[in-house]
Amino acid sequence: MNKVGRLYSDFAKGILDENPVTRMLLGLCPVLAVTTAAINGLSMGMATTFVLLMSNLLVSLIRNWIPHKIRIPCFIVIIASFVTIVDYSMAALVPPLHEALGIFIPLIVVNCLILGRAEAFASRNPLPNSLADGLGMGVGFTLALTVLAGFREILGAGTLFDIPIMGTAFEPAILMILPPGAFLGLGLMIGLLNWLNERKKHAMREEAYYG
Amino acid sequence: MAEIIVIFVAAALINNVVLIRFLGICPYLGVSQTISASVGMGFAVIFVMSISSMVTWVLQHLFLEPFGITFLQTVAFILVIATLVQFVEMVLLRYSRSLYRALGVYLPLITTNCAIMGIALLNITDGYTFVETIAHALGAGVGFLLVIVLFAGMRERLERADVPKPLVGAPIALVTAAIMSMAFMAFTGFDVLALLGM
Amino acid sequence: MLKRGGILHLGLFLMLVCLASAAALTLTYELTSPLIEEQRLQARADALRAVVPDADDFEDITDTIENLDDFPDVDLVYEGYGGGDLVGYAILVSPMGYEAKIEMAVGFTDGEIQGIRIMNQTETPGLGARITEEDFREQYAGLSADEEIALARHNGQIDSLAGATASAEAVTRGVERARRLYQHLTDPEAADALGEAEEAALASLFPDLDVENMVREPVEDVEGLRAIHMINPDDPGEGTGLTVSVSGYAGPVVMVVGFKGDEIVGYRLVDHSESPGIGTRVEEDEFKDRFVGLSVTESVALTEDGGQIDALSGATVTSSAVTEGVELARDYYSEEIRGDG
Repeated sequence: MNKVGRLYSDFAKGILDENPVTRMLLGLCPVLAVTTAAINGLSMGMATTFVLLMSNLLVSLIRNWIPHKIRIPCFIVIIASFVTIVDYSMAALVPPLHEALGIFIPLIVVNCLILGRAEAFASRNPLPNSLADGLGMGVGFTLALTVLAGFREILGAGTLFDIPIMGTAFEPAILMILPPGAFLGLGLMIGLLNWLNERKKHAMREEAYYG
Repeated sequence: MAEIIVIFVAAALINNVVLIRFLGICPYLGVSQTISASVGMGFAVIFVMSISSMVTWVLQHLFLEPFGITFLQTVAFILVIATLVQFVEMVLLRYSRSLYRALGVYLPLITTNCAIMGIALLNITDGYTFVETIAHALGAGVGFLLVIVLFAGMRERLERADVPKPLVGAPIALVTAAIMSMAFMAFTGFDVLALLGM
Repeated sequence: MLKRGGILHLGLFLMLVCLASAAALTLTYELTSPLIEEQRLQARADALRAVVPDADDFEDITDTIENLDDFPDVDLVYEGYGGGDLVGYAILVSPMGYEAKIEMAVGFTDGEIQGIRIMNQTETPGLGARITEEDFREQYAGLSADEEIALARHNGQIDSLAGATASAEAVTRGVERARRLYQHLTDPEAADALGEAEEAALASLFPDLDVENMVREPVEDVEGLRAIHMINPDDPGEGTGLTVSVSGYAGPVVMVVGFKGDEIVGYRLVDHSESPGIGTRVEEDEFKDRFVGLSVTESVALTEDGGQIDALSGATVTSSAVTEGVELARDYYSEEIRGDG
């Protein structure tokens, strides 16, 4: 595969095939906790993407200098620093969102997705690929969060990004924006993706069989 | 004393760390295939959570706040927790082989268990005193143990159930967790002291 | 010593990483903290303007209020000036909600509540969080500041929120406490914020007395005791009420305890923050009657402390607070007022 093709595949794999949420089940705490409204899901996804991108960038840059034995503590310090930067910047620029996401902003630091990408990818790959990987994983994460949050907001509050879309006769199923709705929504979302995937595979097998 | 009990019970049941606060979901889904593994993980969490809560509380109030460097909180807390987990692992390996065999494999996983970090941060944001912090951490740990063991019991049965194919594995586990979460929501609004008949 | 992989090399490297991190974060902090502070002040200014729209300038008068402790939950008090004239007051209160404290602003102009603004809340989304919705908030606008603000279920003016009574109750309590302070500021006659509520309590305790003629004497030097009310200062036995404040389950409980001759007439709560349906059961006759007719020469205590009062199961803390309040009043009445000592 040529270089550009490799870059593209490093980016694209995070969106569906290796989606951190629906496939790898990584970083599920914020996925469940902040997806009560689409805007919260989107902004949490973007905050995480920023940290992921920056940590992949830095880790990839200094990957040849980091002594192997202390690589994990180094990664953790790097990640925690970017998390703090995001935390304070959000407090300064978008206080209502900062308030809504609460302790889940500092908790980005323990999102296993970020440490996982630093260890499994960025510390072993050159800068462009690491950036593509971080961006792809971030977009995949943001997408999953936003879709789940949108689904919960529509059913639980009758709105999407705070815009009423269900008409006045709709009685919101509050359960969907309460904690059980998070588990249920994510479970059904992964189930649906599995089902679509199965169907695609099945169709491909049939095609291969019957030519 | 009543307040301490309220904090403990509220942390264990009403604001259950997994089902209501969504902390520690990864081990909850990842280490709940068998009851024995879930018990090990649960006790490891109680252990590390209590110690790390105490240490981070002291760090915050005797170091970060007096020196006005609370912006280093996230970095400092995660480093302390990571070091602590390593240290606990070393101590166990050296002094208690049996405990190490029981908890050891779960310890490395705990560094990125957001329940530990989450409870450490909540102790500070909720303004708990040192004693309240211990009650809060113990309560949250016991709450974690309780739900992960219950959940593992259900998953052992789910193994033998006829689940629709796309839902096998994580999806049905999440749906099960949704029902558990619903059950735990029944605790909200309870007056803890009344619950205990005090 | 500095060889690759040696302990010194590892330590130095890690230290370098930490130093770089600390430097980057210090810079971030220096850059963002003025902005964060500015945002906070801006949010407060917006809330003030929203609740007193006629004012273009606000002055913080919190420090000038001497008995601020008598007004629980009140954080800050502002006078609003429009074109140099005092046009209203904005009072910031933070009552305890279902999850955490609800920070809110209440505005008053011309003896009316102008409006309320929820500044910060973490109530349950879809349930308690609906306190921020206009439909709920506008119920308070235009209410007279002379009348107690309460939920409809307590015979008040405010319709609760389905499934979120605790949050609606908290907001209402916040507004009511702000209202009392406003009354205290604008009507120096009602010098004591609890005046009216105390009068109602006394009227209920002494139905046969003309409580409007009772002499009220504030008390400042006895812990827990707020005021003494007597129909005839020469003969306390004709009817005496003591206002006491004790700490309950969720905050201070203020109550009036009535005495006639050498008997306890009973008590009435004036202000409290106890949990609805649990702590508030001390307001029901079943519990209140346990104190009626007790002798003032004997200590009052819960049975578990060797006394004569059975606590309410499930509300021990509140029961104990009320009992403590009655005992405090009884002791003072018996020892200091009647001089039984």
